[in-house]
Order: sequence, then structure tokens, then C-alpha cells
Amino acid sequence: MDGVADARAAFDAFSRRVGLADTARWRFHVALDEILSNVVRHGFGPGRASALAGDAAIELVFGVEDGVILIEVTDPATPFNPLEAPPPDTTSAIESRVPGGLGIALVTSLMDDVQYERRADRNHVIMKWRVRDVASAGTDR
Amino acid sequence: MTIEEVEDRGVVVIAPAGRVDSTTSDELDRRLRAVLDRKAPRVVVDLAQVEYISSAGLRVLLALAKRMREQKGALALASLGDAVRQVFELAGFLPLFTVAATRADAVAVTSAS
Repeated sequence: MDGVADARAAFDAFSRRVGLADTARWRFHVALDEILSNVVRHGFGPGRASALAGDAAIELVFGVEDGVILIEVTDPATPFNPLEAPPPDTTSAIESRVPGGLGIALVTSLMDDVQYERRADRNHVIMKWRVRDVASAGTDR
Repeated sequence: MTIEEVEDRGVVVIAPAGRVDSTTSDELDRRLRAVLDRKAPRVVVDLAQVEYISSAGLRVLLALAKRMREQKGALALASLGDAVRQVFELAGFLPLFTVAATRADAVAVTSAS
């Protein structure tokens, strides 16, 4: 899935520009991995992973304002709100443990704020996390 | 991601390095399944060099733990860094695994069981 690697590289370039510490990046890498693989799985279906690597079907916007890092992921797939997914099973014994829903739960735990919006026939997932290591402010597309 | 594999006192130690996410978890899954083809496998997954793990990686480790139970094998995880430990905690995964502070401890626990 080249799209996830491309998104990670783009976020790393953004991180360097705004001075986000290396140690703070992993939570965004995890969040991007979860959201992008979710978009491909639910929005485009199996065998359509190339949608990520292709044209501007999926768009990423990174920004920073007042020490809050923002990532917005938009896609043109059918309406799908990942935040409405049922909560994962995090307590049952190993034999009956199923891994569904873990990804989105990780995103909402690792980020300070996650919102979903449907606008102009696109899904928007907006993630925010407040950091103390941002050296400068700006918006990158 | 690269994956180191060594054998120590009858225990297969698998040590992935780098990211364990949707782009790499299939490769880790293949390596772990190859070890499980053995009878009564003893496995340590050393996570010391893992930068971070996403749910794709958690699914691989959960599947591994379930198969190890079925095959009466022994499994331990070693050396969870801060990022990996945090994800394990959020997912409620720590109670599912034997977790050791070091590879040597994990091998000792696994070879004795």
C-alpha cells in the first residue's frame, strides 16, 4: 500500500518544517495508518488499494496552529463515519478476543480530538493533537 | 521493516525492526506462521527495535497468540518501548501476553515453560 508510505513521508516533511520532535511523530504515523487503511477498506473495498496511490482521490492536509497539529484526510468514497464504529473488545479472554474496531479506538485515544464531517460529497476526518515541540506555525498542503 | 530471526535454547526469537503497520504486518505474519509450522513452538517476539505498532500489527500478534494456545506452544514478548507499550495498553493487549523486560528474560521464561 504505497499510499500509506507516501502519506507518512509527507507528514515527516511537514514535521521537519514545523519542528515537531521525532519522538512525537509516531502517534501521527499510527493515526494515518489507521485512517488511510480504513478509507481503503470501507470506502473503496478490497483490491482498490491503488486508489490511495493514484490521483488526488484521497487528499491530506497538514496544519499547525497555536501548538496544535492538525491532519485532515478527505476521500470521495460513499459516506462513512468511522467514529460510529462499535467500540472494540479490550477486555475478554484471548480465545474470544476479536480485533475489530481497534484502529479507530487507537486514533481517538492517541489524538486529542477527532471529528468526522461529510461535505461536498467527500468524507473528512479531522485529527488534532496539542504538542509543545512546534517551532513555527503554518499550513501545508 | 527488517526481521531478525535467531534461535536460542530452543526458542525462536523474531525481532522486527522499524514500523509494524499496514504496510509491513503481512510480512511479519508470514515469518511468524513459518515458525508455527514446528511442533510445540517456543517463540519470543522482541519488539526493542520497533518504532511503533498500529492495529494491523496488533492483529498479527493476536492471531499468533491464539495459534500458540492451540498448538500448546510458548510465547513471550520482549522489550516494549514507550510507543509500543502505549498502544498495547490502549488496546487492552497487555493481559493477553507474557511480557518480559529483556530478550534474555523472555527466552528464559519461554524455554522453561
